[in-house]
Amino acid sequence: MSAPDLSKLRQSDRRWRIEVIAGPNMKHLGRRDRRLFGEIASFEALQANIETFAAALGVEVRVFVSDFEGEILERVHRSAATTDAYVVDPGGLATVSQGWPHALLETRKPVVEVTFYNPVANGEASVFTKTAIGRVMGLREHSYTAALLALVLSLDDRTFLHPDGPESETKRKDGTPYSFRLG
Amino acid sequence: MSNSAQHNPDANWTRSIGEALRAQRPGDHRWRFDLIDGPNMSNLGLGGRDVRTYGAVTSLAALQDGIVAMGEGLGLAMSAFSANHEGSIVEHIYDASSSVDAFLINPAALTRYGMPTRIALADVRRPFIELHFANVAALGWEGGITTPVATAVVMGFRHYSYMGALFGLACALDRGQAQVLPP
Repeated sequence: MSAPDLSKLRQSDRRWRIEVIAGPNMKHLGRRDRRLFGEIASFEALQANIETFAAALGVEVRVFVSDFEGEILERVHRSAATTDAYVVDPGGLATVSQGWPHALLETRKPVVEVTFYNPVANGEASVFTKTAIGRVMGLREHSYTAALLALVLSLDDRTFLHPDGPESETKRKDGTPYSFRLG
Repeated sequence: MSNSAQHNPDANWTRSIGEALRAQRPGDHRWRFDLIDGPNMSNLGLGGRDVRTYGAVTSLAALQDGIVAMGEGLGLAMSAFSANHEGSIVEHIYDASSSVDAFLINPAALTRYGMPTRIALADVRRPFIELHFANVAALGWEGGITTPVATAVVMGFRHYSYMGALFGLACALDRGQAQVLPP
């Protein structure tokens, strides 16, 4: 028996355009603390995993990594009009960035925060989480694929993150704040 | 092909999703997963929990049936438990741990003050993943009481948090990357 086609099982046939952005230090995977980042050989290996999984889901991903916050801001600004959602690994800026979360908020697109390790266990308070839709942390490189799966299923759902769904669900200010809660 | 909204989530649909995702796992071991839903989750459904946070999931039984079916599709051995009494959850964790490889727990109303639950999870030395429908960190606090000892956390994607977590945790275990954190 052959496995069913994942992309055919989704609740929507939209090929969501998802921008995956990894911040400072993440480019150097393979040279980082293995207790936190595991055995992954390189960022290129992570990028290949992400692209393979996105193809199976039937969505488009564009992966960007940079050690320069200014480059990341410009990437967010430029991509906003042609992106349905962001998956962001803040890297070394998780606890200190001001401009990156603001730039993401101004895209008015859903943002998912991912990290290899559990930063709460390390006493790190992220400045990205409050404006994110959701967060996946602690599954090493599998945080990225788990996040893509949950995000795509959520975007497909017209009662939740689907852009053609009810506006109240994507612009609410009370209850759980969403990453695109700007008016 | 588009699929109609699967709000339950429908167990036939999630089982197919699991079967499709099985090919994406880096291994094929039949890990034993136990799903635990905490206090108030039995109130899911029309007239119960706020649909803007919890979506249109019709009941806790439908949710757990859907997640169990997805896990079976992924090639995992699944069990599920829920209670409104913290003592029941504490006893369940100790009792089930010898026949469980990893726990998935939505601490729900134990998120802030479930210290006995946290101690039980830390005592049994099994990887566990903390789940939430909502992005609880967006409410202004950095995780819950179990978060600092959680292997991983997935939150903010309604019931798709569970689906992303199930796949991500299976992949992490396949690669020996699901850490048990120190208590």
